[in-house]
Amino acid sequence: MKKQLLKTMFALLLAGTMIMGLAACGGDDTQDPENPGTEQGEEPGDDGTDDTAEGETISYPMDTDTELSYWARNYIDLAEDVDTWQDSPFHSGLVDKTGVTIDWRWATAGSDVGQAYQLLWVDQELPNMVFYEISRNEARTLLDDGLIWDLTEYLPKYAPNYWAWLNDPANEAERREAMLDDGTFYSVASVKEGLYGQVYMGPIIRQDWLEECNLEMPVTLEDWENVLRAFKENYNANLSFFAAIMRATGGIASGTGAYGFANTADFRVDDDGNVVIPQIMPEYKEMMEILARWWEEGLIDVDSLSNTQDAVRQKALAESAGIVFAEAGICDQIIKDAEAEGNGAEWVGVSFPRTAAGEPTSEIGVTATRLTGYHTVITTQTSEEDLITALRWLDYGWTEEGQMYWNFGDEGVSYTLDEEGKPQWTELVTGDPLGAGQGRKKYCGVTASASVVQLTAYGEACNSEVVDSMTKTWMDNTEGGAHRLPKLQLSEEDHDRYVELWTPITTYISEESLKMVTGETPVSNVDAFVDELYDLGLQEVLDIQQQYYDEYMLK
Amino acid sequence: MNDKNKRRQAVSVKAEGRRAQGRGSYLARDFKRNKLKYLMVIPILILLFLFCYRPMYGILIAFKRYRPALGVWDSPWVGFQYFEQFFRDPYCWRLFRNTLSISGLSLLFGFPAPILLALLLNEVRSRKFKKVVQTVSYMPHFISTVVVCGMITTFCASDGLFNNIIAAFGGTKSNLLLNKDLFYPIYIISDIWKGIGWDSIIYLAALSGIDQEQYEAAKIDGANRLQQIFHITLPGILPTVSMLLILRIGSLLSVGYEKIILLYQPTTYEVADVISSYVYRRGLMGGEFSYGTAVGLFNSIVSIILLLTANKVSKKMGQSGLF
Repeated sequence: MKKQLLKTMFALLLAGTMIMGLAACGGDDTQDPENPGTEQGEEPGDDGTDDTAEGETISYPMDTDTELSYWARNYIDLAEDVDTWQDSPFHSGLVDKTGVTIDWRWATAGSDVGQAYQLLWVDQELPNMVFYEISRNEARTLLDDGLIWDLTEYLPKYAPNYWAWLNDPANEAERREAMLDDGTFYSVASVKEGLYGQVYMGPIIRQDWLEECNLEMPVTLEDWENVLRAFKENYNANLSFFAAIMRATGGIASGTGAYGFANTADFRVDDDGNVVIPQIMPEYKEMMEILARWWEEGLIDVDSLSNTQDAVRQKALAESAGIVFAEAGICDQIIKDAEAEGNGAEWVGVSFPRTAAGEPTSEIGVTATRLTGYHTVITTQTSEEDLITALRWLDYGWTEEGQMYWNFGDEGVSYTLDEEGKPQWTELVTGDPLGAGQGRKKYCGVTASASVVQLTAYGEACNSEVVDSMTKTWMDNTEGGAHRLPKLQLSEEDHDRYVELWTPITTYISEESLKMVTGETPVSNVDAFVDELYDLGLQEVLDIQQQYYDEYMLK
Repeated sequence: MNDKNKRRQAVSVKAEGRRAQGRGSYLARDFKRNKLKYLMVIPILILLFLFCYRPMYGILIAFKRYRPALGVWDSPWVGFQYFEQFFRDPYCWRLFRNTLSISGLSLLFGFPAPILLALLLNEVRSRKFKKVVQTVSYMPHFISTVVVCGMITTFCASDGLFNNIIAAFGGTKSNLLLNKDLFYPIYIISDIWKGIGWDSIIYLAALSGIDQEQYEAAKIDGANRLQQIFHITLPGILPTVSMLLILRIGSLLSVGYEKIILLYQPTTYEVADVISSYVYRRGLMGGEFSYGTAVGLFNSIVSIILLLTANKVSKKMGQSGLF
């Protein structure tokens, strides 16, 4: 019987602390005896490798038999019906073009990618290159722990094309984000060329109903309210969206001049350079009043908080939604559903609300800069010689030729240029038995993110005409991510303090803001709500962020 | 059961005698006699060691700022920093209250449910009917939590099944999952629905161990059906019930986060946010291994105390304990 107790105790202990298992794995790893990332990095290229002068471009394919391993999350991966990278035209073609063989590694399909990434660093054998969403904070730790190479001295010499891109004055904001606060470069970043590639969600509206009701396309929130009322009255339809984060409220906020979501605490920078959260902006109250009013009048779908994508599609099909906020892909599906059903529904993209016609919209859910947040870092288990090869291999994607190859594959095979010089996919891609999406995976490397520039032309070639016009409507005259706070690099102590204060604040905001929307508490409570935020330590959080933001902008 | 007890007593009397000769020699002799049995135990012991004992030193990271690259040993010590953070948190008390409310209510309503089902099934005469009911009631156990929660969300939506029923009786439609008063009923009823059949298996097994002669004797003494249940069936399965109850009390603080996260909404945080879901949300802000471990460790300690207390109380009340 005693053993039973022991077993029970351990079962409980284990159940309670799911993370301990992870901790145990961490115990095995032996320490790297040296810390080449920071020490050897002082004098790179002085031992017979300096045959390439600064900025000198080399010709591809390189004459090398080096094989490098690359852990690429579950991106740059193989199409579903391709088993090995040797069979994948993109991956095997890349070897021919660069001369470097890559041992591709991906997180096991269906596994928790974040966990796989964390465990990667615990492993004794690291891949040469790692591609993941690596914040500058984390990069600092990885550098300090001697796990990744400091690339500051190497980039100009061995990745001249990437270096040139970073130092282009037009890419000043991106350079700042790709660099640690002390000027260290740790990665080859991943970029989306323009707003077009970043815009992924927005509202669509029933144009046929607008015409039936003799209404114009709504511009201001007042217009939106009128349209929604008319839809409610005539068709018993409302504004529908999904996901627990009320992403749609970002768009509604835009119509009041505020920026950010109603119920998510997100840092923004106001016009005077102050770090704020939407909840303390004066416009927030106006936004909440509107949301509460719409909720009360039944203009917003009450299931929006628990809706799934499919539920929204259903509602659109059942004609109980007149405006839908969703990802471009879902909007496309909704349009196709309507066509298949033949109910005469005509969905078109509508611009986010503005404070007045001609004013810019503030929210389209984009990042602060064109960096995607993903980076390729090179681990210190890579020799200096291999490091140089790795950088040259990565740099290929930043050459003119390499950029086209990563984005579109080979001309004449997977794409052709039309009269305007714009790339168009060939039948090989669009006619893929598994669909164009899988077809693209066979011939190009930027289907998700990669350490290259994803060109706007890529997005344009991929999008159907409908999605293309929607996207262009959404990004029309917008401030984009101008008010977003870039990702800052906090010191360990400040980060700890920030996380400790921030978790309860975000909980409080998401809880109380929704209560105001659903009418459980009156909107007049906003002032008390904001006071409570300061009681929870909001000022300290903002001060921390402000301090780092100011330093960041001085860089 | 009675036979077994007698045998056990006999064994323990013999053992007592041997113990006088010294524990060591007894073990040695027992080992010689049952060599093969000991051999058979070895794989289990290794398994237990590898997966239960060996990972335990990982608890250390609750007191350290864990950095994967440095490993458990070399991460810097921070003392009770993460525990203090948890107790300083303005939501700490609410998380406790919700965790205890949810598991307490589950215990109150969810624990007797499979016993009742087992008792009812035991009284059923038709074997076929019994088998069908058993099979049907097991089924939900095999549906994944994610799917169950998906069904609940759909049923509770404003145009879902439950609202259609409510509307048919003249009520107004609303999204039931947004209503914080309904969260506990939804959570617990769906839990019972999912687990009742599976959990009743162990009771049915215990029921089949009751000596049939006792029922015959009771019938001759003129006991009716209900009296038989109260005086023979229930006492017969009481040791099983008390053991499972003790175990259940031991896990009062560990409410799984999956179902909560799939069902709660910010509007129901007030009643639905539990320790594990809060730690999960915080974990999202970056691999907070140490914080999660600290809270988990604290959880485990309280759980063990609860378990020991329940065991003691059960023994005091004359029931068999776990040990």
